[in-house]
Amino acid sequence: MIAQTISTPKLTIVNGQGAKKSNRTVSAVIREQIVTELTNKFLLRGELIMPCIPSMKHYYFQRVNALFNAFGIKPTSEKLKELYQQILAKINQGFQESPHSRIRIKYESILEPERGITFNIGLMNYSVVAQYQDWLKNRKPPFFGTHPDAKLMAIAAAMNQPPQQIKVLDIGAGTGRNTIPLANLGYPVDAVELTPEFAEQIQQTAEKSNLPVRVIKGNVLDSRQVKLRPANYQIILISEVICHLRTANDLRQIIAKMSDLLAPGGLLLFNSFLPIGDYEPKQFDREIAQSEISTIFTYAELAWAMDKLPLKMISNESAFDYEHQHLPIEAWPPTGWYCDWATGRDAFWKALNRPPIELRWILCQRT
Amino acid sequence: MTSSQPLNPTKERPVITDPDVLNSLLMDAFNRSVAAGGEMLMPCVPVLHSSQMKRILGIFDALGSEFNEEQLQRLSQIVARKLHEGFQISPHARLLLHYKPAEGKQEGLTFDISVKVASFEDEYKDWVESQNPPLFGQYADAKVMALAAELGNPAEAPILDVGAANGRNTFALAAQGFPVDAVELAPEFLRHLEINAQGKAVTVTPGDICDPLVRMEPNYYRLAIAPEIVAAHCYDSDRLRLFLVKMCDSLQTNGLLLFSLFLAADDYQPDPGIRQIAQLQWCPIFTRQELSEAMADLPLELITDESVLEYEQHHRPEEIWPPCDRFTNWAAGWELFAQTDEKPFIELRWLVCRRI
Repeated sequence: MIAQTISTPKLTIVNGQGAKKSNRTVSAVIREQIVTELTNKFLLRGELIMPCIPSMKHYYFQRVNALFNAFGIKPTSEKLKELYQQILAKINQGFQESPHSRIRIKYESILEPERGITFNIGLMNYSVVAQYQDWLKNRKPPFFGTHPDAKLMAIAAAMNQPPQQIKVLDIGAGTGRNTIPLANLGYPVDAVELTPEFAEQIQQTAEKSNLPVRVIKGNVLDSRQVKLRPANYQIILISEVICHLRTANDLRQIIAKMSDLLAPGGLLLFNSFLPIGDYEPKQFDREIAQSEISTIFTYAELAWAMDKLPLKMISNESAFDYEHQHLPIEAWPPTGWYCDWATGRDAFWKALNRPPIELRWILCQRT
Repeated sequence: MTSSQPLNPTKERPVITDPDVLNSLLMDAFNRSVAAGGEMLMPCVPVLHSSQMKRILGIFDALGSEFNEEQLQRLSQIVARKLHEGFQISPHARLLLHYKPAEGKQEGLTFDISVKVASFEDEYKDWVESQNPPLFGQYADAKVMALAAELGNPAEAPILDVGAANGRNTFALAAQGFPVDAVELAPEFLRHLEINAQGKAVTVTPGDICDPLVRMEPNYYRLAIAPEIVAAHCYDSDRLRLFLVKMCDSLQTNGLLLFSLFLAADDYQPDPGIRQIAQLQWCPIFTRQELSEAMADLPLELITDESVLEYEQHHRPEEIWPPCDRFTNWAAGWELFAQTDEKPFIELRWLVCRRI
């Protein structure tokens, strides 16, 4: 009864009819469309953290572009340009502030109102102090080794005077690797250190053993923060510090200042990364080296930095070779990182052959 | 001690001068300071495996992470396994791929791949929330009203509305004097139904009709309707059969069941991949053969099978057609197959069965 009343011209009775042989298939093109559309429901969110290296700007652009491509999105050229400009501004700013700054590119896909990716570009600042504070948290001491530099001990011994008469200035004293052994031998040492925790540590060690050590916290180039007596020191040591500098101007400033603090005939011992052979570092090489605490100065820059200063270079030798030969066997290697770093293998990462830069001991005398 | 330092520089080694070699070493230094972390969330449907792997690898490539052949194979296998696992639970499961830099000194990324499955309630809620404006509109279905009109004295013809949603059929039927029992899962709809049911011959039962504990009056209803719920949510034959069994219990002899379902055109045999996608897109496909298998040996007889779109378009007042674009797209199967002039591969059908 009811079945009849609801019958319409479109009524189809299907039960018992048996399915017809199928003969239609979804074309490959339509299938592809369907799959693509669904794959587009993919959501992603994350961040990419990279060093800030201005000469590599195209690299960052490529990364962002690849992200768009992988996600199947074509941004307008204006949007892309805007994004590039933001990235460029951040890497320039970041690198200028510190070669250890990181750019953080946060990305998140959006589906509404249309598919896209939103970016958020930020900087993570990372000063030398912050880096060493990180070491304090994450690494096990000794951070810089247990033994003093062999080269330093050799020049001190070669002075042939009672230690009490040889005033030493240790710039960037770290945890006192050089300061404490010298003071133990009777040398009066002024130790300048930027990282407060390290300075504190030297202070405590010195006080405990009543050593002739004065600890000065701060940046040696800031003469209001760090007050030192001119024409006073027989030895000034700048070990593993110049590798943190940024420009030849910085280098000239520190060497000039040291020449003012040296007593006549006093010695300035420092180490720095210098090229081997004809190697001419490009801007990119310099930026990466800085980010790896391996700032490169060329010989021309070194000469410029020392120009007209009352200093005479006495020796220039491979720091690695010298220390390797002269440190007691139990003191070698000084730290887990020393060998790679001093031979340029942090910047030229894990090179098997010799990188074209290396850490050199430079010894100068005040005229 | 020195022998433990394999990279000791030796003067015998040549100084590197090749600019390309130098560049690549400097890039290695750069890359070791690159860190990437984040997550990817994707539909958990096995047929999408290769296209999703392509996207995943494209993204990792963009992030500067490279995989060797073996790692690639492994990642691909894990993704395939998880897609399968998740899809078994629900076509609306999601695959979550979480990545972060490897711990300590190891280079590269660590992964965590997991399946996110919402409860049936949450899944339904997602569906409801994604329907804005409501998929089915504000007005009663013409087919529902036409069937009700044949029931005789409304006061003696109780009707069951399964998945009553905003009550567009429930209240239209109640206005004509039919006692209506509405079953609904979503809390938002329930509130709306309960408020509007006051003072009317309408009862509201919260829950999922397929829940063993949700029992409606047996052998009682003259008409049971399920306009969208079955079509969107019954993604396999067992679920469909369970729904039909429940309806058989509730209907009087000769009572009618109206529900909608996506049926494949007779000359189209959907392959497993398309079926998976259809389930994900809230339009699970049944062939007529599968429909009759789901009905096999139940006291039900299929009496009409017609296009929902055609029927409603011809029988609803012009001013309330279409209910919304999404409804027409969905009902025409265009959520799955892009709109073509060709005869559709699948289509939402009004199916009327009589309780024998």
